[in-house]
Amino acid sequence: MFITLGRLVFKKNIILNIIVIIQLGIALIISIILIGTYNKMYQAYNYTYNYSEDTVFFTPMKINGSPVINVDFEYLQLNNISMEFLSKKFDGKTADILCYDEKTFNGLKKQLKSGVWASSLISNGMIECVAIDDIFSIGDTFSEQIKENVFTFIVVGKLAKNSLVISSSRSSYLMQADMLFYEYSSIGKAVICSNSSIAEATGNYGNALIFFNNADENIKNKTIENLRNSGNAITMETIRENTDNELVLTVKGFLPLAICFAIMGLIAIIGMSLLNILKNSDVFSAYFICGMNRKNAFLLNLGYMIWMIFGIIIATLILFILCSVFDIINKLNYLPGVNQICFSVLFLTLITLIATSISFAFLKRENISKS
Amino acid sequence: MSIELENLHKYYNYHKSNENHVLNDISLKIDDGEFVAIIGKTGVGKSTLVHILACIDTFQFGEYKLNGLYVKKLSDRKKSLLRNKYIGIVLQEFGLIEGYTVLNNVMTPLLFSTKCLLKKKETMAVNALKKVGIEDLATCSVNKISSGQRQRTAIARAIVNSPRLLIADEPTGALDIETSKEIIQVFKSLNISGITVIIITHDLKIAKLCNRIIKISNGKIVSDTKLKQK
Repeated sequence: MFITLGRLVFKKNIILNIIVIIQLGIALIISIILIGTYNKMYQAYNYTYNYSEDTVFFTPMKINGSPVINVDFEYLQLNNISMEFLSKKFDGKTADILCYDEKTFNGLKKQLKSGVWASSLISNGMIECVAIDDIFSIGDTFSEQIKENVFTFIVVGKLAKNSLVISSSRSSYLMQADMLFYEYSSIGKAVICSNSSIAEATGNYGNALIFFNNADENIKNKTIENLRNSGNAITMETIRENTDNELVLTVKGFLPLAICFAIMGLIAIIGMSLLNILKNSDVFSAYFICGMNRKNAFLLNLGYMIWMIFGIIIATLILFILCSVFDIINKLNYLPGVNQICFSVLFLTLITLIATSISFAFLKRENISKS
Repeated sequence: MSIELENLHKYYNYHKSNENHVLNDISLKIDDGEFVAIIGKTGVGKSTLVHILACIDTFQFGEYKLNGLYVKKLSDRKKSLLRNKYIGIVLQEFGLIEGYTVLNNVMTPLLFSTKCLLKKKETMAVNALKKVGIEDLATCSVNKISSGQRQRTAIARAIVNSPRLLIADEPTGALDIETSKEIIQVFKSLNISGITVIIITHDLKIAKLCNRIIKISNGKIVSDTKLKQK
């Protein structure tokens, strides 16, 4: 019943409600983009802190005989097993299979869609791995000849699509570390974060990372020295500092915009409250003298709020579609994550709840009886 | 439904610099089935008294007994129930929901009480409209009817739940003389059917159509006169 009454209240001042909905919809879109942009940077920022340069092992894996697409050749050593890794096309889809060492597994244990993180790198003669593509199921095994040896892999877990997947593949926007490497690649810098024999692979990588744990210190130092001397190298520490500074600058840059949207949100709250009080005071007063109690009034507000949220979600979807049509999101180089949208919707719900609560608080008997 | 007020005091902005003592030591008794007019000039506290009688507003001191119930001790839910089931309220500016139809306005009290089918609620609302003689306007929007018809709609809404007490605050204030008389006749017929009716007015002519006149001045009852039954 209160949903229906809420709809009546909503319909009664539909034009003003629509204005508020559009206002909040725009604020929502922009907040999603702002949060997403910040989040993207923060993930990269976290990356540089969370993963030690000596312990991270990751790469897309190459499977022989597959059409190779758009992925750099990578050469990796995992617990003394050297392998080649690339992407593979299965049924027209590109699959990246990621294998990590134990320390990295521990560092990456999050956002797993299904299965488990590998408990050991090699189990029963098979290399455990976590897949990120749906074309693999848990338990799938496949053997590949890599150089002279044949290795068998078993998929034990699947990552969620929006996971923070560390990869040196530059094709995926979901992989936040990519962005980091890509940025440094674009300025022609290599990233050094390994104590390994980088020299073996630098020719293949450009700036991408290679991690080895049985490094030859002499080769590593020599390579680093060479790269530094040629002005093409940047250390992990420098990346951390740069990211740190960039984050501060970004936050500072966002500040005027954030203030602007905070004011927008505030206006929306005040607008909605006034809308409720002024435009619906006749409805509330009529209901009140007809026997509406405080619980009823709250439920009625709730019903109204549900209609407002429904409207805002619809408006946001339409705005998103418009953004896609006009390629605004791509121009911003940003794709929203589900978590960001959820956060924003929760934020919106909070705003609406505050607005309705404010109006509810104003709904005093004296006001009603005078209206 | 009987009403008993004992030494009732009402302040606005109590204990503040702009404190206003609106009702000062009001004591009165209205028996079941009476037809009472409360008169007084603007600003003497008539409407405040109505709001207290209708369980909309509260008071600081004294007692208000409604059919033996101490209203001050009642919870919000119970007061709402009283307003819904036992007290019908008619306001000067009608208090209707603009944009709704006459029928929807009259059905409003039923939203908060009667758990029955919509059809039954509609029937109850139409019956109330018949009592005030505007059943043919049921589907009209209240924006499109005359002031007299709007007041009749407000009365129909007040009686839809068959209340035992009807309180009208300046019910003829926005109406012309002829329409005012018609409206008072509606109240009279409702009183004859057993409902206690209290009308607040500043118009002595209207008050004289009732059976008892209580005059308020500066927040106090200055006279209480029973008139000959007409």
